[in-house]
Amino acid sequence: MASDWTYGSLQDMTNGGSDDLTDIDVITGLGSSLVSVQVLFYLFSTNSANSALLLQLGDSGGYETSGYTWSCSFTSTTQVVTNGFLHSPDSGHDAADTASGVYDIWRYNDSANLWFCRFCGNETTKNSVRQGSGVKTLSGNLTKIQATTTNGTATFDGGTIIARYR
Amino acid sequence: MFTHFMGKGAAAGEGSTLWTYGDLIDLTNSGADDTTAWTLLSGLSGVTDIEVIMHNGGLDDNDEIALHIGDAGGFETTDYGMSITIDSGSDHDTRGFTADENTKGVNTAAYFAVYRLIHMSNNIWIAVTTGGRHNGSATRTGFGTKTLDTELTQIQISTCDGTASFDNGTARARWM
Repeated sequence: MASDWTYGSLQDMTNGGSDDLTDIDVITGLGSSLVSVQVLFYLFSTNSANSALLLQLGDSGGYETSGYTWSCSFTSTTQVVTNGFLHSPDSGHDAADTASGVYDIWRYNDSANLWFCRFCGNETTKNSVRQGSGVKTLSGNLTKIQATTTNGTATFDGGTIIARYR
Repeated sequence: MFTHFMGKGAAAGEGSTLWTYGDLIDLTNSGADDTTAWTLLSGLSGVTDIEVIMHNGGLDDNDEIALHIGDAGGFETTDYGMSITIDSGSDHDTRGFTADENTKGVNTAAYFAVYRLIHMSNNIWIAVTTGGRHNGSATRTGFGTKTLDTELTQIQISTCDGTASFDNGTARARWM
């Protein structure tokens, strides 16, 4: 039996080696019947030493940059943020600390635009698993997802990212 | 909306799901306790998701149970990027997808695990694992990545060192 996931396009976070993007549309044009989305990224890095990956949801009004309830951790280090789904509280993700991970995002029910999210990932050569969980309520249907960074100014210089949905 | 997942058909006895189940494997080889690796699935094509459930897995020597993925060139036993967190500790391994920390013998503490594998793109596979031991120690959580040269066609359950034999447990894989 084939999977029922529909894959979006694989995005080169380096923009073909230009290393000039501060954010990237992971997927757009999502439909109203959406049940769940997964966002997977591989060997992500930035030009900054203070730049974890931040995932933000959007509806017809644009991307939401506040109102998230999100906590993430690795070993005994934790962080709570409200501006998105942060992949890790440790912020060093330059080329020496490439990171990979998967976000699982589910709609709570048919009538509400409340989305649950959990994250699991790592840094390629390091021990501790990075984890996170939280929620976000949108004003309308989830139509798009973007990836940016902690401070929104670092540029991606490594990695690929893709979304799949059903 | 959530009935979206129902009624898509499945193997007899498995309920309504998109998963196709492999055989239940007796890791002890009917009590012979002589097997170092079991092929759980083979001949795969176009697969995006795999889950492996292991129940009461145990080994006859200190080693670490590992899941290996393979393509037409055979099973891969190197270049995994696997991290494991247990309580306040952690570990890293390159020899497979694991659900327990490295260097800890499991011969005296049979454990159970779920390995969840997701195809990202271009033969990049991502694994999220959860493991626990019957001795009551903390739950293990793992995340790993592995890039194959070509399409995934097979998976096996074995060990990191490849020398210890299974002396307890069962395992089963399902895929879609």
